[in-house]
Amino acid sequence: MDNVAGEKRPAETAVEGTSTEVRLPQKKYFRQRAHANVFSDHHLDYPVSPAHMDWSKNFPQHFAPKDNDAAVEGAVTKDSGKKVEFADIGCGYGGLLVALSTVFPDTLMLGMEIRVKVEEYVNQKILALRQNHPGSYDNVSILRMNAMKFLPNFFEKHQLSKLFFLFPDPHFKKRKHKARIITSTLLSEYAYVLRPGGIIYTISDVKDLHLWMVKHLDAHPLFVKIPDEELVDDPAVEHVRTATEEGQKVERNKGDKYLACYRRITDED
Amino acid sequence: MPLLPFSHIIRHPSKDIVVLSFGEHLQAVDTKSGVILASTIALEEREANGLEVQPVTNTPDEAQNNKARVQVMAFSPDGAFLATAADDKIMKIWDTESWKVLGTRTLVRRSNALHFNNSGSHVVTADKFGDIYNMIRDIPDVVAPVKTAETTEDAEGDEDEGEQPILGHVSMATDLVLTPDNKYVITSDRDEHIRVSQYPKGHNIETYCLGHTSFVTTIRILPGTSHKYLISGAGDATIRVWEYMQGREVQTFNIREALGMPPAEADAEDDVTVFSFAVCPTKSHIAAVIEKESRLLILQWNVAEAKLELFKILELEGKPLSAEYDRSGNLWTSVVPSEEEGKSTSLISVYDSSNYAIQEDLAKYINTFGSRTVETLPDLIFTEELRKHTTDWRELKKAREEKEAARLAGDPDAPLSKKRRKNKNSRKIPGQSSTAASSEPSAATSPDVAME
Ligand SMILES: C[S@@+](CC[C@H](N)C(=O)[O-])C[C@H]1O[C@@H](n2cnc3c(N)ncnc32)[C@H](O)[C@@H]1O
Repeated sequence: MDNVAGEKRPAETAVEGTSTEVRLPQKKYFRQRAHANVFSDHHLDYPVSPAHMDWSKNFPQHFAPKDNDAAVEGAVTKDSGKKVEFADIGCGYGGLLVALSTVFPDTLMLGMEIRVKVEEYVNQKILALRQNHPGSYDNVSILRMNAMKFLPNFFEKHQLSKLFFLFPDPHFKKRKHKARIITSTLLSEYAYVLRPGGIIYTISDVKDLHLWMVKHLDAHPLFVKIPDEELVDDPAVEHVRTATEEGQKVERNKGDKYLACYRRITDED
Repeated sequence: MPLLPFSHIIRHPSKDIVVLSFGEHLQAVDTKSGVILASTIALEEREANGLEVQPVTNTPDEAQNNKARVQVMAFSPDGAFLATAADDKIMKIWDTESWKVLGTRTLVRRSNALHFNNSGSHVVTADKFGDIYNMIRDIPDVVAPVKTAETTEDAEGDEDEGEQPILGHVSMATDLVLTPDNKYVITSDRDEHIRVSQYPKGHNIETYCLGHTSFVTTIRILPGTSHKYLISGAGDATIRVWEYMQGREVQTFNIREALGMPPAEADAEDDVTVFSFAVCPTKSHIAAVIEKESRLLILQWNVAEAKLELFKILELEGKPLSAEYDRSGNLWTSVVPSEEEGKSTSLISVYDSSNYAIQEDLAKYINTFGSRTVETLPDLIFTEELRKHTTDWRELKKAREEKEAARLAGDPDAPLSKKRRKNKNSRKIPGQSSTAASSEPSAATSPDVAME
């Protein structure tokens, strides 16, 4: 459980002196009950619209602060022009972000997580990684957010190229299915933030949930299944399977992993 | 004993008629003479005030089974049908000649808005759970499987049974409009969003109109030939104008400023809230009904400059419930009667189309014979569940539904508010004051963490 993905850091940065390294946060201090109610009003901070979002706190190397007084130390004074392109929805302890950060070093990616403590952990971990590996991990960040409600507040139409739903909460009971993060109506919202050609990655060890996600994605007019052959060349897929904490737990328990990836088509007529 | 006030007023699209709802009942009024044309309840014997009682063209019909408070109404574009949806989730389609119910159907959840498409073949509804359904007008009772006490929960949760929504918000949907060409459906929600989607293929989201900082209560397309502007009202003391296809806000109208009120206090949880709009069919006027504010805002939509301007502030006799322009541009308003001893309030006031002078004659008949007597007035203002609390809003909803069920089971005149106070001591309804302390709750004890 404590095999934090960040320890598998790239070889070139691993040579730094260990004495100056910041200690990575320990997960055991950041535990929280497994489920938060996605329908209730949490105390959440979200921008009125994407144009209102100040990303400088999340990506200080890529965004100048909107309000100069609130500048983060060492932040740039001019935007790099990049926008967030990948979103990991319900990112949990952030293993995927850390892994993909060095695979796609030029892409900004954001994790969204509803649980406060988990978000705090990932945030501290990213800050520690940035300190320990200057120049790396500036492209990843996390926000505490209810992604079922507020994605359009953060992302413009067609802004994202990848959306990840890795080992989402299964909500087994029938009457809880509405709380699942993949539903017909939410998929329309995901299609709005995804650009045509963009990809939704889903994976689960719960077959019932996997079949549910497949059923709804198959039925949605804006998504088509990506055949397995095409996934072979996708560098993200391997990390989708193995990089997250939940994925590693399933691995240890020798559970099954069901992957399903879908491409967002161009708008209908 | 007071008369039940009129919660909603709506005009017939092609005849000089307005329909008014009060509790579970409706009355249709001729807007030229003021006479009640139809009523779903026998008119009470009352002091005639020198007026001659006119025959009501239809008699109350038992089969109509009007049991729950009417929540929303909509006319079909040709005026042949009126759709109503009530607190018991039953939608009715009325024939507007005979004023008989043609069909009923049980909605999955309570509806907050109804809208016919142009041909009148479908009724679109926006519900409390955020789902938008496009329902065929003529097929009654196909939606929800019959619910028993045990199956209710399960059936509610299973989105694969019954009719599928064309789109959904993960938040209470508060209003909906179809664009005049019926190509788009625009929906608003409790989480400040206004969404523009294709109609009926609602999975194609065109854009969002984002700018409100509190729940959006109501949206309307502004008059003019282009139909490209949308007006929205919210709980943030503003009315906004949008070029909705671009999701671009073109104007923020500050209600506090217009009414000469000081700015809201910095830590205030609630602000001035727009209840509804009435759009005038004869000139570019919009009446904005503000919650608990006896002053009605009459706005003028300056088409040439695409700008909303304050035309007039109309002082009403009490707190407003609804306003609607009739076909000739007269404004019908309804208020909550004053509870002051010895003070009698007219439930309905009508203002003329040119300078908003009061038209006593038109309102006299409905004020004399309209509505019905109740022992005490129920709660009539329902914005509580729109406001943000760290408590699950579904608890508020459940409390209200239980209360309503208790009321329906017993005396239909039972006062809602009193009843709640008496037997619901254990279930605290968070009021505006109790929420002040709800800053970031500690994760383990906060009510927002579900017990799984
Ligand atoms: C089973 S965990 C999987 C975490 C991670 N993806 C992994 O594979 O290790 C699901 C996560 O989704 C989060 N979550 C559930 N609903 C959410 C929502 N609406 N918005 C953001 N996060 C959510 C939960 O708090 C939880 O951390």
